[in-house]
Amino acid sequence: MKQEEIQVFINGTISYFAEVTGEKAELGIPYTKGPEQLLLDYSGHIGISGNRRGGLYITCPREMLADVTRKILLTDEVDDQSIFDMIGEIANTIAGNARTSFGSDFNISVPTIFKGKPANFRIVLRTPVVVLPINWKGYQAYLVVGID
Amino acid sequence: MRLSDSDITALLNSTTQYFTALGAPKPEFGVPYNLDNKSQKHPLLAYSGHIGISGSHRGGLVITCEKPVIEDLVQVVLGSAAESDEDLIPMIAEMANTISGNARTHFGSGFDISVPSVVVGEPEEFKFVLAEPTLVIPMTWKGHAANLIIGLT
Repeated sequence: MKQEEIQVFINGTISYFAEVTGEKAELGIPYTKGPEQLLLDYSGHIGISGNRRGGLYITCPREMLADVTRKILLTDEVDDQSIFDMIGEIANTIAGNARTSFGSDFNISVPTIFKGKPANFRIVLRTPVVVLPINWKGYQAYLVVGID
Repeated sequence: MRLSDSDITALLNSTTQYFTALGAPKPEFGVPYNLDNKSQKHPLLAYSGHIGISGSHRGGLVITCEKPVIEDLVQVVLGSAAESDEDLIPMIAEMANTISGNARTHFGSGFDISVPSVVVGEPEEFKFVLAEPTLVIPMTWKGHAANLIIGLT
Protein backbone atom coordinates (compact mmCIF):
# COMPACT_ATOMS: atom_id res chain seq x y z
CA MET A 1 0.00 0.00 0.00
CA LYS A 2 1.12 3.53 -0.74
CA GLN A 3 1.45 6.09 2.02
CA GLU A 4 -1.63 7.99 0.84
CA GLU A 5 -3.64 4.76 0.89
CA ILE A 6 -2.62 4.10 4.48
CA GLN A 7 -3.74 7.66 5.20
CA VAL A 8 -7.22 6.75 3.91
CA PHE A 9 -7.57 4.16 6.66
CA ILE A 10 -6.13 6.51 9.27
CA ASN A 11 -8.60 9.25 8.32
CA GLY A 12 -11.50 6.80 8.14
CA THR A 13 -10.74 5.46 11.61
CA ILE A 14 -10.38 8.92 13.13
CA SER A 15 -13.64 10.11 11.59
CA TYR A 16 -15.47 6.94 12.68
CA PHE A 17 -14.72 7.47 16.35
CA ALA A 18 -15.24 11.25 16.18
CA GLU A 19 -18.62 10.98 14.45
CA VAL A 20 -19.99 7.97 16.28
CA THR A 21 -18.72 8.58 19.80
CA GLY A 22 -17.93 12.31 19.79
CA GLU A 23 -14.41 11.53 21.00
CA LYS A 24 -11.47 11.45 18.63
CA ALA A 25 -9.15 8.52 18.32
CA GLU A 26 -5.42 9.02 18.03
CA LEU A 27 -3.47 6.82 15.68
CA GLY A 28 0.10 5.76 16.31
CA ILE A 29 2.78 5.28 13.70
CA PRO A 30 1.84 2.52 11.23
CA TYR A 31 4.20 -0.42 10.98
CA THR A 32 4.53 -3.61 9.01
CA LYS A 33 3.24 -6.59 10.91
CA GLY A 34 5.54 -9.51 11.61
CA PRO A 35 4.52 -13.09 12.35
CA GLU A 36 3.44 -12.30 15.93
CA GLN A 37 -0.15 -12.72 17.07
CA LEU A 38 -1.98 -9.41 17.14
CA LEU A 39 -5.38 -10.09 18.59
CA LEU A 40 -7.29 -8.56 21.46
CA ASP A 41 -10.62 -9.74 22.89
CA TYR A 42 -12.80 -9.25 19.78
CA SER A 43 -11.84 -8.94 16.10
CA GLY A 44 -13.97 -7.98 13.11
CA HIS A 45 -12.70 -9.00 9.67
CA ILE A 46 -13.77 -7.77 6.21
CA GLY A 47 -12.77 -9.42 2.94
CA ILE A 48 -12.06 -7.07 0.03
CA SER A 49 -12.46 -7.78 -3.67
CA GLY A 50 -12.98 -5.84 -6.89
CA ASN A 51 -10.37 -3.21 -7.75
CA ARG A 52 -8.29 -4.21 -4.70
CA ARG A 53 -8.02 -7.61 -3.09
CA GLY A 54 -7.26 -8.64 0.45
CA GLY A 55 -8.77 -7.95 3.82
CA LEU A 56 -8.62 -6.01 7.03
CA TYR A 57 -9.51 -6.56 10.63
CA ILE A 58 -9.94 -4.39 13.66
CA THR A 59 -9.21 -5.89 17.05
CA CYS A 60 -10.27 -4.29 20.34
CA PRO A 61 -10.39 -4.98 24.06
CA ARG A 62 -13.85 -5.81 25.44
CA GLU A 63 -14.01 -2.75 27.67
CA MET A 64 -13.40 -0.42 24.75
CA LEU A 65 -16.25 -2.01 22.80
CA ALA A 66 -18.49 -1.80 25.85
CA ASP A 67 -17.67 1.91 26.15
CA VAL A 68 -18.38 2.56 22.44
CA THR A 69 -21.62 0.57 22.69
CA ARG A 70 -22.76 2.54 25.74
CA LYS A 71 -22.18 5.80 23.86
CA ILE A 72 -24.08 4.65 20.79
CA LEU A 73 -26.99 2.91 22.49
CA LEU A 74 -27.17 5.47 25.34
CA THR A 75 -27.46 2.74 27.91
CA ASP A 76 -25.40 1.49 30.82
CA GLU A 77 -26.42 -2.11 30.21
CA VAL A 78 -24.27 -3.73 27.54
CA ASP A 79 -24.48 -7.46 26.86
CA ASP A 80 -22.09 -9.77 25.03
CA GLN A 81 -24.27 -9.87 21.92
CA SER A 82 -24.17 -6.07 21.57
CA ILE A 83 -20.41 -6.11 21.89
CA PHE A 84 -20.16 -8.92 19.35
CA ASP A 85 -22.24 -6.88 16.91
CA MET A 86 -20.32 -3.67 17.61
CA ILE A 87 -16.95 -5.01 16.45
CA GLY A 88 -18.56 -6.06 13.17
CA GLU A 89 -20.15 -2.64 12.79
CA ILE A 90 -16.84 -0.84 13.36
CA ALA A 91 -15.04 -3.03 10.80
CA ASN A 92 -17.86 -2.56 8.31
CA THR A 93 -17.97 1.23 8.70
CA ILE A 94 -14.21 1.73 8.44
CA ALA A 95 -14.04 -0.47 5.34
CA GLY A 96 -17.11 1.30 3.93
CA ASN A 97 -15.54 4.72 4.52
CA ALA A 98 -12.49 3.58 2.55
CA ARG A 99 -14.73 3.04 -0.50
CA THR A 100 -15.11 6.81 -0.86
CA SER A 101 -11.38 6.95 -1.69
CA PHE A 102 -10.80 3.57 -3.35
CA GLY A 103 -13.96 3.81 -5.47
CA SER A 104 -17.21 1.95 -5.83
CA ASP A 105 -15.39 -1.13 -7.18
CA PHE A 106 -13.76 -1.53 -3.78
CA ASN A 107 -16.11 -4.34 -2.74
CA ILE A 108 -16.40 -5.31 0.89
CA SER A 109 -17.83 -8.51 2.32
CA VAL A 110 -20.05 -8.69 5.37
CA PRO A 111 -18.02 -8.76 8.58
CA THR A 112 -16.74 -11.95 10.11
CA ILE A 113 -16.27 -11.77 13.86
CA PHE A 114 -13.85 -13.63 16.06
CA LYS A 115 -13.91 -13.68 19.82
CA GLY A 116 -10.91 -14.65 21.85
CA LYS A 117 -7.20 -14.97 21.42
CA PRO A 118 -6.15 -18.53 22.16
CA ALA A 119 -2.38 -18.89 21.99
CA ASN A 120 -2.40 -20.69 18.65
CA PHE A 121 -5.03 -18.48 17.01
CA ARG A 122 -4.12 -15.91 14.37
CA ILE A 123 -5.63 -14.24 11.31
CA VAL A 124 -3.23 -14.33 8.35
CA LEU A 125 -3.81 -11.60 5.73
CA ARG A 126 -2.28 -10.73 2.38
CA THR A 127 1.27 -9.46 2.93
CA PRO A 128 2.68 -6.94 3.54
CA VAL A 129 0.28 -6.34 6.39
CA VAL A 130 0.15 -2.83 7.85
CA VAL A 131 -0.78 -2.25 11.49
CA LEU A 132 -2.38 1.02 12.57
CA PRO A 133 -2.33 1.39 16.36
CA ILE A 134 -5.47 3.13 17.64
CA ASN A 135 -5.76 4.88 20.96
CA TRP A 136 -9.29 5.87 22.01
CA LYS A 137 -9.90 7.14 25.53
CA GLY A 138 -6.81 5.31 26.72
CA TYR A 139 -7.84 1.99 25.19
CA GLN A 140 -5.41 0.38 22.75
CA ALA A 141 -6.81 -1.24 19.62
CA TYR A 142 -5.40 -2.09 16.19
CA LEU A 143 -6.55 -1.81 12.60
CA VAL A 144 -4.70 -4.41 10.54
CA VAL A 145 -4.82 -4.08 6.74
CA GLY A 146 -3.45 -6.41 4.07
CA ILE A 147 -4.51 -5.56 0.50
CA ASP A 148 -2.82 -5.80 -2.88
CA MET B 1 -30.24 -16.08 2.20
CA ARG B 2 -31.26 -19.72 2.32
CA LEU B 3 -29.23 -21.72 -0.16
CA SER B 4 -31.19 -23.83 -2.63
CA ASP B 5 -30.56 -27.50 -3.29
CA SER B 6 -28.77 -26.61 -6.51
CA ASP B 7 -26.56 -24.12 -4.60
CA ILE B 8 -25.61 -26.84 -2.13
CA THR B 9 -24.95 -29.34 -4.91
CA ALA B 10 -22.72 -26.76 -6.59
CA LEU B 11 -20.73 -26.31 -3.37
CA LEU B 12 -20.33 -30.08 -2.99
CA ASN B 13 -19.16 -30.34 -6.59
CA SER B 14 -16.80 -27.38 -6.18
CA THR B 15 -15.20 -29.09 -3.19
CA THR B 16 -14.99 -32.50 -4.84
CA GLN B 17 -13.46 -30.89 -7.91
CA TYR B 18 -10.69 -29.41 -5.78
CA PHE B 19 -9.59 -32.84 -4.58
CA THR B 20 -10.02 -34.69 -7.88
CA ALA B 21 -8.06 -32.03 -9.77
CA LEU B 22 -5.11 -32.89 -7.51
CA GLY B 23 -5.56 -36.61 -8.21
CA ALA B 24 -6.52 -37.06 -4.56
CA PRO B 25 -9.41 -39.18 -3.25
CA LYS B 26 -12.85 -37.54 -3.09
CA PRO B 27 -14.12 -36.37 0.30
CA GLU B 28 -17.16 -37.99 1.87
CA PHE B 29 -19.86 -35.48 2.74
CA GLY B 30 -22.12 -35.55 5.78
CA VAL B 31 -25.58 -34.05 5.90
CA PRO B 32 -25.45 -30.25 5.48
CA TYR B 33 -27.18 -28.28 8.22
CA ASN B 34 -28.07 -24.70 9.02
CA LEU B 35 -26.24 -23.46 12.05
CA ASP B 36 -28.29 -22.03 14.87
CA ASN B 37 -26.09 -19.02 15.57
CA LYS B 38 -27.63 -18.52 19.00
CA SER B 39 -26.96 -21.97 20.38
CA GLN B 40 -24.32 -23.57 18.19
CA LYS B 41 -20.68 -22.71 17.85
CA HIS B 42 -19.22 -22.47 14.36
CA PRO B 43 -17.29 -25.69 13.83
CA LEU B 44 -13.82 -24.32 13.14
CA LEU B 45 -10.97 -26.82 13.19
CA ALA B 46 -7.19 -26.37 13.27
CA TYR B 47 -6.72 -24.50 9.97
CA SER B 48 -9.34 -22.35 8.28
CA GLY B 49 -9.27 -20.48 4.99
CA HIS B 50 -11.79 -17.64 4.74
CA ILE B 51 -12.99 -15.93 1.57
CA GLY B 52 -15.06 -12.75 1.75
CA ILE B 53 -17.80 -12.60 -0.86
CA SER B 54 -19.20 -9.42 -2.38
CA GLY B 55 -20.86 -8.30 -5.59
CA SER B 56 -23.98 -10.29 -6.48
CA HIS B 57 -23.93 -11.93 -3.04
CA ARG B 58 -22.42 -10.78 0.26
CA GLY B 59 -21.04 -13.00 2.94
CA GLY B 60 -18.25 -15.44 3.41
CA LEU B 61 -17.06 -18.96 2.86
CA VAL B 62 -14.75 -20.92 5.13
CA ILE B 63 -13.06 -24.24 4.58
CA THR B 64 -11.79 -25.56 7.89
CA CYS B 65 -9.76 -28.75 8.32
CA GLU B 66 -7.98 -30.88 10.85
CA LYS B 67 -4.23 -30.59 10.56
CA PRO B 68 -3.65 -34.02 8.92
CA VAL B 69 -5.86 -33.00 5.97
CA ILE B 70 -3.60 -30.06 5.19
CA GLU B 71 -0.43 -32.05 5.86
CA ASP B 72 -1.57 -34.75 3.44
CA LEU B 73 -2.50 -32.20 0.80
CA VAL B 74 0.95 -30.62 1.06
CA GLN B 75 2.40 -34.08 0.52
CA VAL B 76 0.18 -34.60 -2.56
CA VAL B 77 0.90 -31.21 -4.10
CA LEU B 78 4.55 -30.66 -3.19
CA GLY B 79 5.63 -34.27 -2.96
CA SER B 80 7.30 -33.63 0.37
CA ALA B 81 6.21 -33.34 3.99
CA ALA B 82 5.20 -29.99 5.46
CA GLU B 83 7.87 -28.72 7.78
CA SER B 84 6.03 -25.86 9.47
CA ASP B 85 2.95 -23.65 9.45
CA GLU B 86 4.56 -21.73 6.63
CA ASP B 87 3.91 -24.76 4.39
CA LEU B 88 0.41 -25.38 5.73
CA ILE B 89 -0.97 -21.82 5.61
CA PRO B 90 -0.64 -21.35 1.82
CA MET B 91 -2.28 -24.74 1.29
CA ILE B 92 -5.46 -23.93 3.22
CA ALA B 93 -5.55 -20.50 1.55
CA GLU B 94 -5.27 -22.06 -1.88
CA MET B 95 -7.95 -24.59 -1.01
CA ALA B 96 -10.40 -21.83 0.01
CA ASN B 97 -9.55 -19.83 -3.09
CA THR B 98 -10.01 -22.76 -5.47
CA ILE B 99 -13.29 -23.97 -3.97
CA SER B 100 -14.69 -20.41 -4.06
CA GLY B 101 -13.44 -19.95 -7.60
CA ASN B 102 -15.07 -23.22 -8.65
CA ALA B 103 -18.33 -22.01 -7.06
CA ARG B 104 -18.34 -18.92 -9.30
CA THR B 105 -19.28 -21.09 -12.25
CA HIS B 106 -22.57 -21.73 -10.45
CA PHE B 107 -23.18 -18.42 -8.66
CA GLY B 108 -22.08 -16.30 -11.63
CA SER B 109 -19.32 -13.87 -12.51
CA GLY B 110 -20.80 -11.25 -10.17
CA PHE B 111 -19.86 -13.53 -7.27
CA ASP B 112 -16.72 -11.60 -6.28
CA ILE B 113 -14.27 -13.35 -4.03
CA SER B 114 -11.59 -11.73 -1.91
CA VAL B 115 -8.13 -13.17 -1.50
CA PRO B 116 -8.10 -15.75 1.28
CA SER B 117 -7.45 -14.95 4.90
CA VAL B 118 -6.23 -17.79 7.04
CA VAL B 119 -7.18 -18.47 10.62
CA VAL B 120 -4.95 -20.80 12.57
CA GLY B 121 -6.48 -22.31 15.68
CA GLU B 122 -9.93 -22.12 17.14
CA PRO B 123 -11.28 -18.85 18.53
CA GLU B 124 -13.82 -18.92 21.35
CA GLU B 125 -16.56 -17.77 18.96
CA PHE B 126 -16.84 -16.98 15.29
CA LYS B 127 -19.69 -15.81 13.11
CA PHE B 128 -20.66 -14.11 9.87
CA VAL B 129 -22.65 -10.97 10.51
CA LEU B 130 -25.89 -10.48 8.58
CA ALA B 131 -25.34 -13.62 6.57
CA GLU B 132 -27.81 -16.03 8.04
CA PRO B 133 -28.66 -18.79 7.89
CA THR B 134 -25.14 -20.14 7.89
CA LEU B 135 -24.81 -23.51 6.21
CA VAL B 136 -22.32 -26.12 7.38
CA ILE B 137 -21.31 -28.98 5.08
CA PRO B 138 -19.38 -31.57 7.13
CA MET B 139 -16.97 -33.88 5.36
CA THR B 140 -14.26 -36.40 5.98
CA TRP B 141 -11.20 -36.92 3.84
CA LYS B 142 -9.00 -39.95 4.43
CA GLY B 143 -10.64 -40.30 7.84
CA HIS B 144 -10.02 -36.72 8.93
CA ALA B 145 -12.67 -34.05 9.51
CA ALA B 146 -13.26 -30.86 7.60
CA ASN B 147 -16.19 -28.46 7.24
CA LEU B 148 -17.28 -26.09 4.53
CA ILE B 149 -19.14 -23.14 6.09
CA ILE B 150 -20.98 -20.60 3.99
CA GLY B 151 -23.18 -17.63 4.83
CA LEU B 152 -24.64 -15.38 2.12
CA THR B 153 -27.05 -12.46 1.97
